[in-house]
Amino acid sequence: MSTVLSSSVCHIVKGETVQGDALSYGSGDGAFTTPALDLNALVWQRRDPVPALDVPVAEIVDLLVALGDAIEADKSGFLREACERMERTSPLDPGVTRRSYEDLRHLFTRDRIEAIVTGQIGNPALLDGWVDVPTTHGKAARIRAFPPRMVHILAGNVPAVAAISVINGALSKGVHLFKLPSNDLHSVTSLLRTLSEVAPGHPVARSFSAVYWRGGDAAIESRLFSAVYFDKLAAWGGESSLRSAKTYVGPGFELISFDPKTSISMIGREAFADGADLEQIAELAARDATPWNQTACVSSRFQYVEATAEQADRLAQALCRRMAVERRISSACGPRVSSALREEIEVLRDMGPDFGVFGGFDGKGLVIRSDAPVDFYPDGKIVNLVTVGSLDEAVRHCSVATQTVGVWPPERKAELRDALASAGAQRIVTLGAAADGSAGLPHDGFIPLHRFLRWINDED
Amino acid sequence: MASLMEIDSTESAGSMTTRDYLLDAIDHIGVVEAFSMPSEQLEPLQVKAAQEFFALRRMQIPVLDRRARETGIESIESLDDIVPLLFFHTTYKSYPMSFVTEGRWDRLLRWFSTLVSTSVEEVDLSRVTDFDGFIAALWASGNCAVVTNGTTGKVSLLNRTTSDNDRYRANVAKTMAWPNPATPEHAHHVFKFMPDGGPYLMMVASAAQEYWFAKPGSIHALSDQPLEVAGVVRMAQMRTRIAEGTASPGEIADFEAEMRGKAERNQARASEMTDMLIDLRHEPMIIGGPWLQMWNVMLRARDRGIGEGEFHPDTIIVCGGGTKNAPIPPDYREQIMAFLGPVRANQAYGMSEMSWQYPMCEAGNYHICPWIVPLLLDVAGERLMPRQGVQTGRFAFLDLGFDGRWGGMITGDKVTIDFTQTCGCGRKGAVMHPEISRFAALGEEDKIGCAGTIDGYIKGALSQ
Repeated sequence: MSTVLSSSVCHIVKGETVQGDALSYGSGDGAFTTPALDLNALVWQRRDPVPALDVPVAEIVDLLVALGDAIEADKSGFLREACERMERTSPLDPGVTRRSYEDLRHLFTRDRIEAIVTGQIGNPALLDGWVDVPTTHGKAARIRAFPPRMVHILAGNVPAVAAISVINGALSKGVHLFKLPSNDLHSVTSLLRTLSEVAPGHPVARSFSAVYWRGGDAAIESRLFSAVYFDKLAAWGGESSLRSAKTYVGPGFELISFDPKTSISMIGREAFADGADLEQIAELAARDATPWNQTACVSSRFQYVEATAEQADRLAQALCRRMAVERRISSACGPRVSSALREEIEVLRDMGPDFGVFGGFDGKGLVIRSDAPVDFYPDGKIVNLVTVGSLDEAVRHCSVATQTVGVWPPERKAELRDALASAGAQRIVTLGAAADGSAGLPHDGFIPLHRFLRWINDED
Repeated sequence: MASLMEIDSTESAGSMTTRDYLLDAIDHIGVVEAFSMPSEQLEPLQVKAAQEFFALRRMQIPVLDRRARETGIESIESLDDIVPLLFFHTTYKSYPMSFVTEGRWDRLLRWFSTLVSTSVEEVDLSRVTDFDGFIAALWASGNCAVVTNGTTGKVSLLNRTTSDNDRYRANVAKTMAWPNPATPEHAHHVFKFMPDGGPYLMMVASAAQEYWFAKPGSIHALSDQPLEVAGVVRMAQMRTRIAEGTASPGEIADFEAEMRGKAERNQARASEMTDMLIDLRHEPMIIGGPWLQMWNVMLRARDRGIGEGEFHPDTIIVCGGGTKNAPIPPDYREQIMAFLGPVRANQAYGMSEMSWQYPMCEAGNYHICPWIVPLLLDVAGERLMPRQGVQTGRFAFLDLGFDGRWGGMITGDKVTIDFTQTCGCGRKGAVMHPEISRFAALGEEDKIGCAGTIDGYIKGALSQ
């Protein structure tokens, strides 16, 4: 770390940076201070149109692309500072954190941003004005994707959450109040400060605020979480962030929930056929298991395999080797296995032949082979390889909490996808592609930008 | 593998070990003195006894031996050496739930065998069809495991031997209502707001109290059916089926109705017992159960126009926990005791994982039980806090009092230990302050990530 970083957190209020240390939170290494909160400054009155209403979407795309360039250049060092602070507090390896910041700029390419508009909205003219639509009763009608007024409860496990929220927020043209998570107090503010440098006073910059308050603080949330000021609440992280918010959701104040998810893999018996490259399949499985050292929802924790115990053990060994490889979004050595998990796993070592435990507790990767899923939640760099008679049987372990299912060989996706979707899964990918993600596709079973917008009619 | 009896005999044979001395400290130095030994005298004995215990258990318990090898602890020469050998409470419920839900009792037994110092060869699984049957089979072989109910529907299996239970029973006779122990004379009516029997420590405790104190024919329980583990297991199974999407709304409703019915029957019986014990208030009683129940006793007695101080002075209150989410004031204990009058209370800090308790003195502090070595750790549970002054940290302990298993454990309790040996009651030794809370991850609520499991989704499905 190059400099001694203070523990003060800045706020962004309608594009302006606010410094101060009137309020303090946390203790020990996690202590930090923030400026005082002025609730009046955090709302946009409904009688005033939102600032970016008349900014053409093409201009917003240009602005976001320019923001991407500025993020890369990082002239004022906002991103670097946010990254250094994150390195200090994040459970992730510093290298992974640094690369996660470096990769933010790839989210701001013209291709990706245009793909979001076309993939999620279709016709960009809907964002810029009123578009004629056919009707069934002979009269004309027009619709517009109208800017929303939103509060966002952000997740802080990876900085990409902040970047995606800024991109979707800007494209919606609405006004957005971000509530900072205590595990990432700086990413979104560093992006918004950079945005204000790229285009000082721009209506899009003035459309964003980002502040911290203690989640669940009724004195603040009961004032802000209201249809009087906002239309929608976008919340990441499910129950922990919704504990109090759900009391405020009601008519006129809608919840868009980015629920917490888990991911799994399914590997067919073809992996053990003559000529199959088990090492390569293990590489694909490891790629899906390790993103952000398993702090992310796309990380596969349970991998169901059509295999005998002996075959599965061979795969487990190869998987263990491949999990120890350093990747752009995971480190060679992840967090040490927590004591509580270690004890659950230690006992299984003495339970052979029903269980196989491969790898150690050093964080390089650990695989548990069993014939039923373990009860604990594999976390860090841990995979439970579960033998099944057929992949159909594994579908019962898929639920609404299952986001991504990686399948190998890819030809078997077609036979499984309806059953998986039916059971609750939201994304079926070829094994190894879990973390790739293409812009513009639905997320967790819905289309975020579409859902952010208010769809308004003008009927004759 | 030595049989249970052989282990017992090897342990009791020959000259007395330091561990034996501590286990029998009450007999050697007196019931009050045993719980107030000066630290400078007690700690060296505890370290010596810990080494004896470790050397013995290591040969018997595979999981402990593995831990010793992996952490490089070959012998215990100071309290610091014990820390790497502590287990989390989760260890004792680390079996995969599928063993239970799919009836794989052989696998469950093999799991159990890795954590105990006794033999499981005599355990007959041939007639086991459910969890309660499994535990009964363990008891029949001398492995008197008790369970604790977790919130997740998974229970811990904590092994005890018949010798452990005998020692427990003997200690009840010696220490009931410490520091002024009551005399066992079979003179007490027993009211226990819990079922009669079941593989739980509170049942072992109440059986021991009845053995010494109960007036013949006057034991009153919530139910004459033993408390079964099956209900907890069914809850877990229901959760699994909801998660898998195979439980129908009707089934869930029936299940809840059944649970509700049971709760209503218990409430009716509790109400009946409350009136009975109020009628008997002028005679000695042992009243056991949750504090909330005692609160209700007080309210009912007031409703009946009964004034303060009418309960017999030899009555003993044995209450614990049970105030979670209950609408009662924080000073409920003081109010209840003031209402009952000069009765005795058997108040102590303990848990199912411990072989005995830290009893409370007149000054309201918990005194150290000589054979349960207190280990106050940092929040992370990795290092001992300094053993001087007044320190707050995570409570861990090495319990030398079990013949059936290893006794080193880290808890989630945040406690304060006063090492100054200046307790207000005038006795020596370190004491634990009465304020005990759980280690919640303070400020963790705002740490939001995108990863999570089905557990967060099905909470609403079972209204519990």
